[in-house]
Amino acid sequence: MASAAPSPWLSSRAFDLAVYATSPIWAAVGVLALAHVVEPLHMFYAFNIVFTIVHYGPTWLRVYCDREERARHRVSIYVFPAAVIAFAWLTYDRPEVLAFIIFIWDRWHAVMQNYGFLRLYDAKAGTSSRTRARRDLALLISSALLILSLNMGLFAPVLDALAAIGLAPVTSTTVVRGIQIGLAAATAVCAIAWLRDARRGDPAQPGRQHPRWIYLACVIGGHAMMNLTTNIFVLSSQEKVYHSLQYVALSWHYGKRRATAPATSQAAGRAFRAVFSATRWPVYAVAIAAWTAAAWLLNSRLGLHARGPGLFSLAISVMAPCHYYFDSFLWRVRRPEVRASL
Amino acid sequence: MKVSFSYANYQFWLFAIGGGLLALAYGRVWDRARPTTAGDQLAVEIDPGYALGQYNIGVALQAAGDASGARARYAAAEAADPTDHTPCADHAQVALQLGKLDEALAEARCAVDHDDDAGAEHVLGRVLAARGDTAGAAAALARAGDGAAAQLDLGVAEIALGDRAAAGSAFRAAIAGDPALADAWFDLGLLAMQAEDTDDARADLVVAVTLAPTMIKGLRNLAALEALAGRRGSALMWLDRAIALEPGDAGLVTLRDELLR
Repeated sequence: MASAAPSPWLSSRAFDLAVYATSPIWAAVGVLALAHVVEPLHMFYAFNIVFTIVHYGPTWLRVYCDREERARHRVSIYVFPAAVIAFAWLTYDRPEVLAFIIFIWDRWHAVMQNYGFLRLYDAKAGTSSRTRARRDLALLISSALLILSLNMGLFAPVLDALAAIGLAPVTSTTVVRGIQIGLAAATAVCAIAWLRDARRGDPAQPGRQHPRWIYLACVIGGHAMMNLTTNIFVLSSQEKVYHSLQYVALSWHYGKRRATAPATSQAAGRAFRAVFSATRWPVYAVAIAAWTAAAWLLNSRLGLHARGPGLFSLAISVMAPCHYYFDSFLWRVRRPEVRASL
Repeated sequence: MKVSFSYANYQFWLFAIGGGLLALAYGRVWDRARPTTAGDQLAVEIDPGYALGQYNIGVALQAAGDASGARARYAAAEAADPTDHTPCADHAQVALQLGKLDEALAEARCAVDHDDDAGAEHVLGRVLAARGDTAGAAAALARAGDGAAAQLDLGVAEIALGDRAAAGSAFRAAIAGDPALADAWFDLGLLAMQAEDTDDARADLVVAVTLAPTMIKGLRNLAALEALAGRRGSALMWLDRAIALEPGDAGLVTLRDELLR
């Protein structure tokens, strides 16, 4: 008798649909509605704490509490934060440098998280291929750039920066229209290639690609919905919400499996097991809440606000690159030990 | 266990090399860069509903002294995005500057209603003072935090209400916040003059005109103070400095003539 194929969903169909897949959509609806009640800037600051800083917590838990990860990356996880602190200190009088790096890396990080989910679903479906991965990435990047170029709330700061460094010719209506048309064409080509691949599908296992399709459609759809506003604080809030929720939930899902599976629980170590035991989600929640409270206190009470761009404090400026960099190897789906717990 | 160096991936190298190059190049490129609203201008041209662009252009116009242009941009920003009340406080300031007090009051109230920033209360206090609502102005300014400018305005409102003690406290708080605030020293000096505390008045006014050597009102009051105290030479010195700045001021010249007689 043939055994049933493993589920193509990461957690369960209902959970994946509610949290991982549709969160870009309902986050868009939520923040657009909330902006009519709460001042967008206040919403942005609040979400920076309750979503962005919160979602750094699981990164630290994975990298510093997981014995195997700690040993494997022992140089990186201690040297890199020190290097970022040194970099922040050396460029303290020019906070725009770190702010610019964070801005660029943050955009890439956000795209790569969505790409990572697509790879996970592809792996779950058992249909991974390099070509499919490239098509996914091309469509994600081209659609993100197209949305950026169409929304002046996102594009104007780029145009301002180009004009400030003497590239004023770029900031002409004709050039901007050309960029928008070029990106629309590129997105259309990527979408056609992607749809052709999706149409071919896998006749032997119909439906196994559906989670990946739904996820991608919701990410692009959610960001497209955000074109209803050009307010940068509302725009940023949507991504903060869904990106962080997905991350916190996936980290719990991963940690729980790793802490409880006989093959991995010993390697993960006692501290990791203490947080991620199957029945201990409150411990995970308290650990993240404690981290957030500590970060908030460090940030707001100890006067670590950097000069220059007001939305960047010194503390967050240091945490963010560490989070981006650690994620680049912690969640590498190619790693068998990562796949094993997903 | 083998330590993997695969973590030194492309993201690591981009940060290390890109960040380092950026830090080195920053001084060369960005120091020559000038703040510009070119991107916002273009963005607004493409999408007039881009509220932040309208607001940014308004701020630049206000900084350049074009209050009317700034007012139009702030109004456009508010119309384009009714959910974001960031422009209200700036809109109130330019409306006040243009003498449109009803509009200024509405915008200042908008700023207070939607922003917990003490700056909003400060703007409201200034608008209420301009409309003659001194008690309302003092109440708003009392909520405007301990910033030097707000405390200075609070002191002026307290004088109008006749509470000299409260005014003195406010001026001292303004000076504590910004010891170089010449107007606060001047107002404190005037309070001392009115209290016939000549020594304190002289000391405060001297600080005021030292910080702001072109402050005619300071020089004039110092001269008057010295004349009343019978220090004719000192009075003439302050008067001469004032007349050098305002040769056509008949009042100064008359006072000098009287001293010389």
